Amino acid sequence: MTLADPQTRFMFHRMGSLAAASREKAWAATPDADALKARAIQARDRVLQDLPGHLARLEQAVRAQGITVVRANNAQEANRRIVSRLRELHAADALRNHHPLLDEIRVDEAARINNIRLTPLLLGDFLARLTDTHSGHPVWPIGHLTVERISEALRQHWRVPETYDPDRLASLVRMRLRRMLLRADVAVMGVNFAVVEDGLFVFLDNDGHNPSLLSLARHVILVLSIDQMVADLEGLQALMRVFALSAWGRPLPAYIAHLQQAAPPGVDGPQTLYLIIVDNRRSEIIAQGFGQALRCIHCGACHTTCPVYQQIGGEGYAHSPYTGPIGTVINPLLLKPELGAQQTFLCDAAGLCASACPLDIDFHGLRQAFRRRRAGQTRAGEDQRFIALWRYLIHAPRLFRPFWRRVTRHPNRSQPR
Amino acid sequence: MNASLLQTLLASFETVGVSWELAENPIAARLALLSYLSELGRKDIVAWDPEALPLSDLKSAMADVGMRLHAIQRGHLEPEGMVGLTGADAALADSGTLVFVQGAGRSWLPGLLPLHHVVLLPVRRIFPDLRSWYGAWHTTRPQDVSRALLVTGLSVNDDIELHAHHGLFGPGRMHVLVFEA
Repeated sequence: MTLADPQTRFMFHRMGSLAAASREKAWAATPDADALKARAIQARDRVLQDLPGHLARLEQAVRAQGITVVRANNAQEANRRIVSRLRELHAADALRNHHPLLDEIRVDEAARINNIRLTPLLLGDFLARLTDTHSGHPVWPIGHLTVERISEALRQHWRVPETYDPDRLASLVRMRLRRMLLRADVAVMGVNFAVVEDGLFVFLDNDGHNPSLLSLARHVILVLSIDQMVADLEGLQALMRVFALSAWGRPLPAYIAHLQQAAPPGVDGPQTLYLIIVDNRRSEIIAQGFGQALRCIHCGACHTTCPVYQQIGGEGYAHSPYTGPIGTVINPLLLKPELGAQQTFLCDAAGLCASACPLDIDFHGLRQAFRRRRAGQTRAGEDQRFIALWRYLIHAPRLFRPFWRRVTRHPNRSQPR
Repeated sequence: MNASLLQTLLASFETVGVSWELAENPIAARLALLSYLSELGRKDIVAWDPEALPLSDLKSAMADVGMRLHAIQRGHLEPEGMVGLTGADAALADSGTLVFVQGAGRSWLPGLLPLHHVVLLPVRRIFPDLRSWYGAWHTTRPQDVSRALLVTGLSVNDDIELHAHHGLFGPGRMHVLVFEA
């Protein structure tokens, strides 16, 4: 299955147009759309403008509720913490929810290397792993696969009867996932939002996999990126509504699960909670003046309009989980320079991403700023290296003379023998 | 009770695919519930602790017609073929959202594991919207009931070709019995 396959390209276009149509319809039916977007932007910017302050208050509130809190500066540290906690709990198997941060830090890989089976509970993530392909879309991981492809994969792996009915296919996967869910002991869960004033964690989905995990897992490892905090419930409401409208084309998610502390005896829910707060270059991104990129709530609206993403799918984004227009803005800042810098050019300047983004991210401006900074850095770096070499050579005449002859030699002029 | 709030809620339920029934008082509500469950032909019901349900004497009323209320026991029960029965702590009229606050005897699971969920909702628990409920919750919630689940419509997953499949990890059918308490 490659993008040379016309059917795969068709599926990317189909996913984009269906998602865009449902998003536009939902926003058109929202009477306070502009005010809602403004509140959501304000909620994001409020946190991003004072990340250390909000982080300190959140940690204080969460610790007061008896939850262990640790910080991880980068993906490796986050994974080390997760694996170490899983080992403490003697967990050979664990379940995880659908969350971009877990993909960003590559927790599945880290668990696998350490002989821990971490299974994604979302049907799309589970099938993406089974088929070894991912759309790169934050909401529909297998939106580019046809029922025929999914059916074939299930027949190959599980020897199930041939069917091309999406409901039947979903039911087949559901049976497996439910069996795992009912045995769940430990879960690794990315947090959608953390409310600072209450020390409250919020999880959003439409199929109920988050509340199911929060009811059945006895130990939950919470993973939160520092930018996914929100100051108060007022801001939370705005962000949840914006996310649901832009991601799923509905006024609210089907399931909004709130969690504040471990379950007391006699109550379903995790007996232990362990929170890992992950930075992974976000503080640096803000310090460099690119904080607006972190307004992103990963609704996928920009993907559904982007002509480049619909042509190249999720494969062209240097194996980052951030694809589409937001990938071209975040990847240059998150990835190594040799991989990230090229990402800003995955754009045909259509400008449709900016109009689709509910949080008014200036994709074009951020890409331009990154290119300017990169160009400046490259030039300045070369200049500095040249000056250092010059200083060294002028104090070493035996080296300087041949160097000077070489650099002053004219390529089109014959040299004296 | 604000009648327009109730009408808004019932209209919202229809928008999100949830069926409803209105009863004038708890006695009528009990009869309506038994009748609904009988029509489904289900004898085993997984439910909140009877003491936590907003209708009294349900256990004995159900036993009289041969129905049994079960608590969900981890690892001992596959409640998929059963019906889940719970109360709701609140309902949000503008979105048709139901609120379930987890506590002793009040698990989220009867509303998640069975494919069919029946909810008992006293009308006094209806709030206009999310903001008003958050406002009330923020000022009154005690520490031991800090886990609230807001459910708007049925469990739906559209990962396969963006086709809406209902009832993946939550119920594919929901019925709300609204009554004056």
